Amino acid sequence: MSDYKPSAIHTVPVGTCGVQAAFLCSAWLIFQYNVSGWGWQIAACLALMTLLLDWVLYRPETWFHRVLQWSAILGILALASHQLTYLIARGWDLSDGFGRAAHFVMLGLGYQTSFESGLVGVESHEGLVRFLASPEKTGLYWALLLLIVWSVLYWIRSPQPRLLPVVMLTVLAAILLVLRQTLVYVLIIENDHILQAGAGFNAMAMISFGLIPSLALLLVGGLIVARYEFLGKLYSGDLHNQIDFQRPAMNRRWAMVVLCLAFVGGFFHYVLPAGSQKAGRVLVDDKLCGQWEPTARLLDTEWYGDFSTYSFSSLTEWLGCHFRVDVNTSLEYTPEVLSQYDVVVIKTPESSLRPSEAEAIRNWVNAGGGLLLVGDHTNLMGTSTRLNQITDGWGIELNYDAVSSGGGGFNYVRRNVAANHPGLLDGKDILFMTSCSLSADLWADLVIVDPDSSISSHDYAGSSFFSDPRYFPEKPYGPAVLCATRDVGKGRVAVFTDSTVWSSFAFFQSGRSDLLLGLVNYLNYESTWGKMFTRVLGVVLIVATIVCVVYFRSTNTLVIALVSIISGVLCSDAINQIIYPRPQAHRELREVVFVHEGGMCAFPQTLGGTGSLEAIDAFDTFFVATQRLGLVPRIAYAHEDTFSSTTKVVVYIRPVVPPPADHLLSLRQFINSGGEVIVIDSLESGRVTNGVPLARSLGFELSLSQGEHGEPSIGLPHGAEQMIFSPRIVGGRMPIGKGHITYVTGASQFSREVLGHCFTVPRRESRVIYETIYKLFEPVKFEIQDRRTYGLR
Amino acid sequence: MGSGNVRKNLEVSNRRSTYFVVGLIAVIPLSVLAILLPVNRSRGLTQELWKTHYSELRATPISEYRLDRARKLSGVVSCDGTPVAGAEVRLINVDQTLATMRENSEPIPLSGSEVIEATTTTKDDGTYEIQGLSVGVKAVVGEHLVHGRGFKSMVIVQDGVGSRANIDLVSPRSLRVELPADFPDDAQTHFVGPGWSPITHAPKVTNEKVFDFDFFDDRSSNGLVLVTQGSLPLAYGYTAAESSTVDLVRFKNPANWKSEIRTDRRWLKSETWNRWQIDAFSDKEPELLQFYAYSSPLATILSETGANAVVSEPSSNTANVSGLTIAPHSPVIVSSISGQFVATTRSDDAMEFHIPCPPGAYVVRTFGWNGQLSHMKVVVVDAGQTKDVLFNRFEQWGDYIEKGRIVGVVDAALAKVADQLEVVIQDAENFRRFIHRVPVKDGSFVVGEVPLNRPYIGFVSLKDARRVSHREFFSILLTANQCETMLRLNFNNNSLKVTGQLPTATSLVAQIQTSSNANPEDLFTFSELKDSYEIANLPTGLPITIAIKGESQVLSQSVVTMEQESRVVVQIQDGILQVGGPD
Repeated sequence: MSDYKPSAIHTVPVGTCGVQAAFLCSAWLIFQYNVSGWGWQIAACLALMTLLLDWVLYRPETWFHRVLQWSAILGILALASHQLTYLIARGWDLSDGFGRAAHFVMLGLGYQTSFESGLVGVESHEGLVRFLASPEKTGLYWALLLLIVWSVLYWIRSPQPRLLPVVMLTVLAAILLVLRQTLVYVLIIENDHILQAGAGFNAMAMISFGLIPSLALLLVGGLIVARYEFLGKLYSGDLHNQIDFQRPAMNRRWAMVVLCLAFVGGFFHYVLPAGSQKAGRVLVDDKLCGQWEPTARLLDTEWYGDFSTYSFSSLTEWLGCHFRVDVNTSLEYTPEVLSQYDVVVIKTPESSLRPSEAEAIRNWVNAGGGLLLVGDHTNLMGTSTRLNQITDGWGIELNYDAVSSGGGGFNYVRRNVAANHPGLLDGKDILFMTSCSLSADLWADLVIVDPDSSISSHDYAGSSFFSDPRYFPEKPYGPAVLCATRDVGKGRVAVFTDSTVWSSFAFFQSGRSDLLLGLVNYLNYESTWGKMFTRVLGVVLIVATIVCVVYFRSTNTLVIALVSIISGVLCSDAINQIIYPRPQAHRELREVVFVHEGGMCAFPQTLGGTGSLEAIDAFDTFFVATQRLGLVPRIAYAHEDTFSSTTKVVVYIRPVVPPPADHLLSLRQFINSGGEVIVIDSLESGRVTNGVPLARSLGFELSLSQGEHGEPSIGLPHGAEQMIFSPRIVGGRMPIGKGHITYVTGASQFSREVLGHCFTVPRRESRVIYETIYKLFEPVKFEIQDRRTYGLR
Repeated sequence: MGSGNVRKNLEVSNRRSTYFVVGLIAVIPLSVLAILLPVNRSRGLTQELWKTHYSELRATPISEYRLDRARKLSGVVSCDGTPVAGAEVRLINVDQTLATMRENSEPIPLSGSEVIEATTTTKDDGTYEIQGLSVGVKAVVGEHLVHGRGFKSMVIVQDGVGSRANIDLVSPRSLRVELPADFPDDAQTHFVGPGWSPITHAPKVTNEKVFDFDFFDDRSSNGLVLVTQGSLPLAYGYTAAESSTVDLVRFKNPANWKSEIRTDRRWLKSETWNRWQIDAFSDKEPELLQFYAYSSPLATILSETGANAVVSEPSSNTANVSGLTIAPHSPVIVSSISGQFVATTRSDDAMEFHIPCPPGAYVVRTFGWNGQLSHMKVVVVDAGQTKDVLFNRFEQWGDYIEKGRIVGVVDAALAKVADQLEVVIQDAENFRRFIHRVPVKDGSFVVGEVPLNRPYIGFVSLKDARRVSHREFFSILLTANQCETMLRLNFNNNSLKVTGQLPTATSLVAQIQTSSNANPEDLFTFSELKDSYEIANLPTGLPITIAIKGESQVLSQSVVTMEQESRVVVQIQDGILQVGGPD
């Protein structure tokens, strides 16, 4: 610091930085949270308008600088948003104060109101209406986000930054939030239809209602700065007037220091060091879960009905291919039993552990065991209560609520670009079904956070304790933790909140199997003191970075710091993958890939109806049926996703658009090397598809004709084996190279329309189709004796 | 030149210091990372370990993987705490039994093989297990030639969880009822002996005034003898808890008894009402009927209602429950929470009722024209006090009699949380099928529109609680001939705290004695105590034995009895248990 020299004179438009930041931030916010449908178009228009205004009013120095500014703004917003989301998910909430203040304002306006437990109660002629003062309803989230960005940019870009404008703006923001909240209450109370429709509090409405005042706030903030600077005799009355000011020198050395600090800080903040790897001995509980998710019984071709697929059978079989797995059907959890295992999975316990068992499990975790707890929504059958008894004092607790997307639909949680927990492996985005949320303390590691979810508390009067999923003013919306881990002593505990998605009927979709594998793999390592060290070091270095950025106050420094932090975080992802390598399967996995692209077929989520999709086009039951043979089904939504190292069968159902030529080439190579391709064609009116050309393009020269009554007739080349399952399902199998191509007609027979829902016991005609499926997969299926990948205790 | 060298040196120096800073910051993470990377991977699972396990599994019969092992019933058969080997265990399918009974006008013999779903024999350690059962409500009978018989009802086998039932055998006992010497010779006699249960036995007539019951258990300790002499009905009661020979107690004021008997203690719809004059009753099967006799204006129910029922008349006038019903001719029943006192009245001409009773907590019920329960309230009345119960027409519960209804009382009238409770009722076989939550009001609750012929489980908990930390579970069965089920739930808001250090090689065990002849049930066992441990919601009014056990002997022992709202602390000091101490 001894060689510190002021840098060259900088020139910026005075009094404009606040307004400028407001425009830019608002544009980004609109862009960020209107990401679907017409929202995109509006966001794009607003962003362009903002850019145009920015250009006309303030004449950017260079486009390079403008790009730097945008990068900086986006970076701050992304990081601030990410951290705010996580903080709010952990229960950090300032909203209570705003709710209380709004309650006093309402009292002043003559309304009868009360405030208790975060709820503002307002008497109306409809009775007591309760409003939850949560971050999204108070507008706190958006205001805080913009305030952070505005403050950082103001500090960096203002020639003479001072604390007073920031404080003034903060106070103004608080007043504005209270007034906004009051206005919301009055609007709702005085307009019955809003209350009755319950639409006044949906997420988008809240965002829009939060955004406009926030935008106004920042514009006002900009003007305050301008006014403040005017009072300081720095403002000349001309927006484009230039003044000169000096900044500390930002030379290359300090740039490197900032770069390193930021990079290492970002890296250490997200890296998760591990202790010793354990032997991978897993015990899955089947004693406490009652009728929920039975596990011990193998999902085979004899057991049907909802409990067969509403089970953890496929999960355990899959887990048994990667770890040494036992299922506990009767053993008491004693220190002796637990000492034989490294990871224990307890799911949806309907009966309580004995105190001695709970104590033994807690001691075992402290001594280095890995415990995976799987809950579900609304404390159904008291499962959350029992799991919370185990995690008592560990900083993770299941809430008695139900998490969904707005209006009660399944919530789709996207994987982060970076900073992913190693429990996610290299998995994909995950579609949840019926999860609850978690309360997690600061020492917990959040695996999955849904940033924009609808959280409904439990209601014992409702079916399965679900309350009304619609929007109501007393319900919160926002971030919800759906999966978290925590180090406990030498061991680790992971809590997952949606047992349904790990049921056999849903396990092999939407990255769920990878999530299980990742979590069990993570628990198969002991914890280490190093995690605390890296976490603290990461925070210290990031704080040091922020100090540097504030000190040098240049956009370039900010950009360097942000890029470095993000690079560090990306690097931590890579290191996490090295620390926690994906477990390898010890038994061969045989994957069946259902190609969705170019086919007239759909694979809806099994739970719930098919919506506008006709059951005759839904093949989810077919998908699940392959699991009864020990196979691992997967949907390839694009041709390029078809092959993996374990792919054995590729299934085309009702192919309409042929795959591209290069993909056909890959398919031929796949067959020649021993792969199986099954083409299921349709001749039905309105659903005639192109299975024959596809089969021919792969070397199966068959011909197809139809009789007077539409019955199919197949002409097979020499060497092909004829297959007649029923008058509608006919075809043949052709050996090519080491593999086969199978062609059959009657695709609709394999749909949910004929097979039935996979929860049902098949009727006689459905059972025939099941048997047909089993014959189609005869060459690749596992024999029943080879599927015993888990022991029974 | 000199200044150039200086500048050059300065640049070199600057560059060096830059490299130093960068290097320092880069070395830190690399070194730390090297430390943090798991060093001991040798303990990782090897392919050989997995293969060994897999090869063992392949030797397991595949049938093991196809068992619905969860649908099993298991338990221990014992007699006076000793496991009984070789006892026969019979499983009765109650659902089927009830369904069959509904379709038959005459009761079927309940020991018949048509309702026995499975039988097995206990092992040497007294345990038994029956797998692959159907879901539903069962009753289990254990029998041994020497040790006698035992019975457990309401055993619910669920898909995926099965059930567990321990059976205590009771040595065979016989009950002899001797009529008094002055008993009229020409009287017609009807016995209401053991309760309505699958092990009911009819009495043998030893001589004209001596009747023997071959077998009875605790639940049949109360009985009723109805006698008609001409047109005069007489009623005698007996209690056989301790003795095998009982004396009859004649109820007073026989002239006022109405000659009226109902076949069911529920007030069913009018078309299913069956009333008999006592003299027209002789050809009916007595043991499957339940009897009520009324007197006017004050009536006493003479009922055989199971273990807790005691046939008695109001014996104390120290307290009164009075009030108004919403309509004349509405029967009113006042019963104590404990079940020790039951009284009823019918207001023939007025809506007033007045019932003297001992001090205590009472459930007051009134019934509508169709026999359905129309109102229910819980009152607590002290000695010398008269408590008015005014029923409001608008509080009427309506007629759900076609669909079934669960009504009940939460025994928390004295608890601080009485007005914050709610009851949750849930289908016991399929939790997705029926779930209902109702608030507890005035100590009672009602759940309407309940599907019939299903087993249910319910619990009582605190309203709006984030955790259901206080709860009581119960099992109930609704059938077509029992459209209302009356429940009594205990809400035991109490806790037992154990503190102190256990001596080496000892464990702390707690057992509770639920009935005089049953085996103690384990409450908890600790092999180690850290600071303290608290157990909440313990049963009230039953002795809980807490003991420090070594390998073979009991080192110290104490007995505590929990009550509502009680907080009991048990301390371990120098290996000795002490009840009481700082909480």
